[in-house]
Amino acid sequence: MKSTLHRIRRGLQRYLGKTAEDVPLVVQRGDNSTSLLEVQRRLVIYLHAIWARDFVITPIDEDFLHHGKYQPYIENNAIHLPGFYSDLTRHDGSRITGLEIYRAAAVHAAAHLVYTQHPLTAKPLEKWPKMLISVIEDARIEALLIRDFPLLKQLWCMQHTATPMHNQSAGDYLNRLARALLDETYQDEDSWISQGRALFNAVENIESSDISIQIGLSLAATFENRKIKFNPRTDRLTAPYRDDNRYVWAMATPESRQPQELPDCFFESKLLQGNNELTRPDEETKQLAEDKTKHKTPASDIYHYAEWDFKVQVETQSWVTVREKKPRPGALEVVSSIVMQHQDLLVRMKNLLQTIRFCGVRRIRKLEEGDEIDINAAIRALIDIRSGVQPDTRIMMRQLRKTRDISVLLLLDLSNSTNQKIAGQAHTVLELTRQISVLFAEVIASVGDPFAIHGFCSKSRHNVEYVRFKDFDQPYDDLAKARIAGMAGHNSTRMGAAIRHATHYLNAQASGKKLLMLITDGAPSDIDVRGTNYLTFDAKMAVQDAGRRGIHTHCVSLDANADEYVSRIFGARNYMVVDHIRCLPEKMLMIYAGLTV
Amino acid sequence: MSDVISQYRVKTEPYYRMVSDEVAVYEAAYAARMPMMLKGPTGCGKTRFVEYMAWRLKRPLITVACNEDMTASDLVGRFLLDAHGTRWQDGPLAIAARFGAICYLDEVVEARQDTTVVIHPLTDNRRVLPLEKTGELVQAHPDFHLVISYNPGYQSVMKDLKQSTKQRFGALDFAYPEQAIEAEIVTHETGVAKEDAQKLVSIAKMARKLKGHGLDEGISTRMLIYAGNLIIRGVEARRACRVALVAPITDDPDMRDALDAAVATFFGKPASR
Repeated sequence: MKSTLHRIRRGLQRYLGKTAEDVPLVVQRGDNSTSLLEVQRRLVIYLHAIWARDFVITPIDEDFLHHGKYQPYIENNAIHLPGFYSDLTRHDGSRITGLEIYRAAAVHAAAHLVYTQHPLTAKPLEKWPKMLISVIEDARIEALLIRDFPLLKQLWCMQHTATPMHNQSAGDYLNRLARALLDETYQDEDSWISQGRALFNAVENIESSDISIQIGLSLAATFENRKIKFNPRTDRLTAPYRDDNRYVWAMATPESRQPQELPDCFFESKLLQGNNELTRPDEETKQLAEDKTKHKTPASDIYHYAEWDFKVQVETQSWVTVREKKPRPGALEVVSSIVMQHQDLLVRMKNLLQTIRFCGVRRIRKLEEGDEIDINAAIRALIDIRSGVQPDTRIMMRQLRKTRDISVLLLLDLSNSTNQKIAGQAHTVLELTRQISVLFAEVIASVGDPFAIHGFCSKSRHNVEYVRFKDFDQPYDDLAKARIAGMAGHNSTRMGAAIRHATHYLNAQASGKKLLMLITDGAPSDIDVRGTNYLTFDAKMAVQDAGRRGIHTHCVSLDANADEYVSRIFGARNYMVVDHIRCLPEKMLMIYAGLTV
Repeated sequence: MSDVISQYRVKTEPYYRMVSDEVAVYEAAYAARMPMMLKGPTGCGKTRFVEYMAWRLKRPLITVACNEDMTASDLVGRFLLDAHGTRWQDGPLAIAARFGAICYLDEVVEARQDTTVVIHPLTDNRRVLPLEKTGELVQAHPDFHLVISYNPGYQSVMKDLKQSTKQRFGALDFAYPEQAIEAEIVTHETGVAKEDAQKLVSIAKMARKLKGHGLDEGISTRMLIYAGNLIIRGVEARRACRVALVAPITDDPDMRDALDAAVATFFGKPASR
């Protein structure tokens, strides 16, 4: 008993002692530290500029830091970076800013994601050769990138501090090797380092990661003569930007790479593959009954809509059932806090709308051919003629009656995937959707155009849930706000049926112009359909139907890889993919303005 | 009267670097008098191409920059009042049709849709321009050729050409040239060293990947030439890039930072921050 307690106490001491001593200064929060949250978007844009693809950058959990895991790492294809990097001062007095370390780390990790295509080796290896192979692999991907972007070398080089003076531990040699492979101006006469350099420089084709293994193993063999023991806990790479290389090894065991944190859509698609429509209905009805008793929100009328089957090119009548649900109200404060937070955006949107809101009669002057004479211009012209100068011939004017006659329906995708965080952002899709709805409602309400906010999700064709948060004839009051605050995301996205139902509501509006704006984060999908083609084509058909009834449809997609299917559904010009909330309201207003003016 | 048209002649050969078969295609289209539409992002060389073709075909070139206030009479012509009465003044389109010039309507989507319709009778087999006000029917000169430029997806969601207009033209797609060719263009136009030109082009290549992901348009060849012109006049390279490449295209601070980093990736990090 006593010995157990003792052991626990010792463990605790070691644990607590570690927090203060082991976390290096560079990742601790301080006066001159840069926070990842501040620079995350810059890094993502920068990486996009290099590779034309999006990378996910997320902060390392604080708990990890306390366990001494402060190195960047790659997991689930996401780049994990420390929450803070402090500025560093080098021996020669020059400074490396936190942002530079972030940039170096992000580019290095992204290079792994791009260039380390397959696992290094599946063979079990000792820790020391593994470590060496990792270092060579690091050098290899850096060399690949330096080929296209030579000055990146500077960015990395300045973070290596190892010198020939460091010759005690295996870690010292490791760091010297890492530096030697990257920086050819670095002088190191050590035979082992020179061997590494020579081997690496002799390689002609650095595209393949096989060379990392070859060089790593032969270096490990030579190093054995030195009789220096390798301690995996203390002998680490000191350049702060280098990740822990778990990625290059984790690839070797595919099972271990399906971890706890896969996005929800993964499970959805698994579900899709595993389930056949034939086996579902019983379960569905059971669940439906459960849902009813659980929520006690009375389902209102039931609507049936046709669906388009692209394989047989036929519309199946009354195929989908849309049930309307009463929305559950949430806390009003949510809405008011969104309004408070985005006050600057609101002002900007309102200003923008002011410029396009002119309505009533407008005189267009300076026309050569108009409906009536502009008396001021005519007199001016006569004066010019009398005084013998060239008169302006544009003396007519026309009256233009502009009326704003538009109804807008904001249709929100409330599927389960909206509960995920947006790549590179701290908030979920649902939160973003809610913010957009609130901002949009605030602004449009201030102009006085009729608008409605509806949402949908689906659970097979028998149960497409449709929620009306705000109707056209309903004022934008506390009730509507509370409902928007209470929106939640579950189930799947059967877009076509929802568009048809929204069309039904827009049709009932008397306005001259009608706009259906769909906010979604993913391709249409449902649990009873395999693949996305069927629902994509159906949604496209629904959009075309709406168009025939004079309804403009426009899609705001929050999925960065949505270009293909969204343009297929909505047409090449009727969608936009939004990567950041800050530019979204303005873009949305542009569409709105385009239709109203 | 020949004075009117002689001012539109392209006297010296404009520099144009052929990218693909566009010159041959244009020549064939001109031989068939098929109206052409040049599509492509801003600053990729559409206007320069037309100038070059006008020089090559030895035709005068009348360029009209279209704007949204432009009316049909700005193209066709109008009666002017002078102290003694009225006088007809041909517009650029009428002059081109009469004297057999190449008429280039730049950024034609900017013009109001009713304006673009006046070019219709000139662009099909009729090849006439009715002058409504004078009652004259101008038969187009055999050498007359109409070219328009058009930037698809340009700014507004709402601006587009009518289908009836679009279908009267053959279209040549322009894109930013390949890296080596673009570097060659920048070197030729500005005189900067080849390495610098290549760096500028690489920066532009990075920025173009951001189109649609925060940038409305990528960095154009024209902007690179501006940057090159600053560099050759002694402006420090990073500063020149900031002035000519980064600052004009975005106001978003994060985007600016990322683009500055892209510049630093090729020209090095600024000495002081």
